[in-house]
Amino acid sequence: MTTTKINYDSAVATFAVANTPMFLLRKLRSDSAVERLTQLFSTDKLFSDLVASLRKKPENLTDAVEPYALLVALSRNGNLALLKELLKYPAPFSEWFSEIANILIQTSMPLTTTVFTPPQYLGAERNNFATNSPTKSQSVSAKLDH
Amino acid sequence: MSVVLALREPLALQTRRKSNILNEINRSPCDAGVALQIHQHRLDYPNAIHRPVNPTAAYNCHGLTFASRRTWIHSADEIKKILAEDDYIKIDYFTENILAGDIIVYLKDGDIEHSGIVVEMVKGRGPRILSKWGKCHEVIHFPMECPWKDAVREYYRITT
Repeated sequence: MTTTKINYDSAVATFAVANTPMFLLRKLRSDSAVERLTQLFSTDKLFSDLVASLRKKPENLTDAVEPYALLVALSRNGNLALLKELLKYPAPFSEWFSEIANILIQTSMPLTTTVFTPPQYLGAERNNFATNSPTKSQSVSAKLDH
Repeated sequence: MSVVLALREPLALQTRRKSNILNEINRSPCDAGVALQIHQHRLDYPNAIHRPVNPTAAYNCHGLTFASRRTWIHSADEIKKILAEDDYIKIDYFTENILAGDIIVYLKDGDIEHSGIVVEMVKGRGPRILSKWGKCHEVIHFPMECPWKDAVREYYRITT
């Protein structure tokens, strides 16, 4: 299966009435086509098909919306370097491409896991805190995904 | 003398206070399929008035509302600038009468996604809005009778 086989009908409907790039981005973030792209294709495949779609002159609304759908799908892996790399490619037929890519870069957080080790034995054992460090710390993982 | 027009270019457009307004008129033919989308809108919104305006990217809703259908304005910052520098005042829908000639803007997450001009107040139904739907056609519709119904609606008026 290729990314061009995805059903872009709802994305096309959004693209046709979009007055602003922000509206297009907001709608694509919850679009079923983007969801399918994310589920079915690897980052490498999304990237290569996106670069190819940027070069192609659109013949219809599906062709026109495809680069934006691929971009939003690609942004879900949290790889900011990849999004920044995309800005180097010309997008002669996708007038809002760089603006949407920049918004995604500014609003995305890398998907990293940060481990916090909260202090224990506060309270009753506060007096011993300096010398009685916990032997088994409890870790809290926070997934940053905006 | 003939004038050569670029397919895409900005127009000289300013607020009352002479700040430039970013815009672009796109004279390229619309993508194939926009006419199909218009057909679908006629089916989805049968009670709206669908004006016989062909698909065009020359102007959008903001271009209709704030620039006499001359150009496409896509930035919320530009619309905020126009509202401030053209002396619009905000009208409270619940305490003041909305009148024909007032402006409606649809806001979501800091963006001004859509706008239109109030053309009529219908008793018991509220204002009817004239607006342009992206690259599609012009529609006269009630505020919730459009693809931006999940946005917050604000009304504005020029009084001076």
